[in-house]
Amino acid sequence: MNDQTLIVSLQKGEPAAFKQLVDNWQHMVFNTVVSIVQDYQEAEDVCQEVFIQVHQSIKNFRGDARLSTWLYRIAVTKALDCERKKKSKKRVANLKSWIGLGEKEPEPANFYHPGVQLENKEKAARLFRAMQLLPENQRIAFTLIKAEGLSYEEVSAIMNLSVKAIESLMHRAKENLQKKLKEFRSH
Amino acid sequence: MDNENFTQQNPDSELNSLDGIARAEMPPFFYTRLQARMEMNNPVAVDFRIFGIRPAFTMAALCMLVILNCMAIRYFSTEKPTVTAAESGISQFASEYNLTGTAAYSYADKTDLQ
Repeated sequence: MNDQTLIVSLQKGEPAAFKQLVDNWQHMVFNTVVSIVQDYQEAEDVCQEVFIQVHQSIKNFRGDARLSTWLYRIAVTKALDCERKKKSKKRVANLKSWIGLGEKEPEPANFYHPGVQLENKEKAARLFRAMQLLPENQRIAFTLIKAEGLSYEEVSAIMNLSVKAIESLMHRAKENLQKKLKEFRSH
Repeated sequence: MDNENFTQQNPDSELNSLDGIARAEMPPFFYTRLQARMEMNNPVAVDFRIFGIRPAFTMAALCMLVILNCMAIRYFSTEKPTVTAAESGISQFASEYNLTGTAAYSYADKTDLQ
């Protein structure tokens, strides 16, 4: 079933079409989300939210973008929402520990992406840790290009920015990452 | 140590550590878990029909029955006792000939005193 036929079937509410959508796109959604949230269990929860959102919103899908572009947008949005909640929870925990009401939240363990080549595992783990410290737009652009292997044109469609803007985001992301990685090495 | 020296001399090696990365795969049976969560969010409506009749109609019928019962109870609790035709005829005969109980006693009292 091609994308157009699939969209029509989804909008009719056919359960088989929804299953096919999940089968076709679950790995793409999971890889995108896990590269951002850097936790397998959280990533699966977020992926469920992504597909539930798709199920609820498919009737409003106008077809002005490709289905994959739309899915990436929802996946990135949901992953960033999860990250914001985690940061907020961490801030509250740190504030409580500062005034003596609780323990400081421990730093999460290094994230090892299963698709990274063996010889690059440790370097990639440090890189993922540095990526958590990037501004959101830089983080998304870097993740989609490096972890998902998308082109600048595809990322510009997903983020609704020009290709030039994506190039600029990548340039700044790399600069910031190099600074952070240097700090990690010096500690 | 050699690795660290290499990294320090080639800082881009860390930036490029994701080159050739393969896609992480979703754990198995994701669709099953997704369906379970969607069903939890939207439980299927239970059919409360009794003998094929919609619950609204059943409730309306029950309310009607209760109202009728209340009306019947109220009616029968305030009902005056009915008098039969034979009883009303006897009462009328007795009152015409002063044959009621008190009338006989009052006549007897008056004659004794004279």
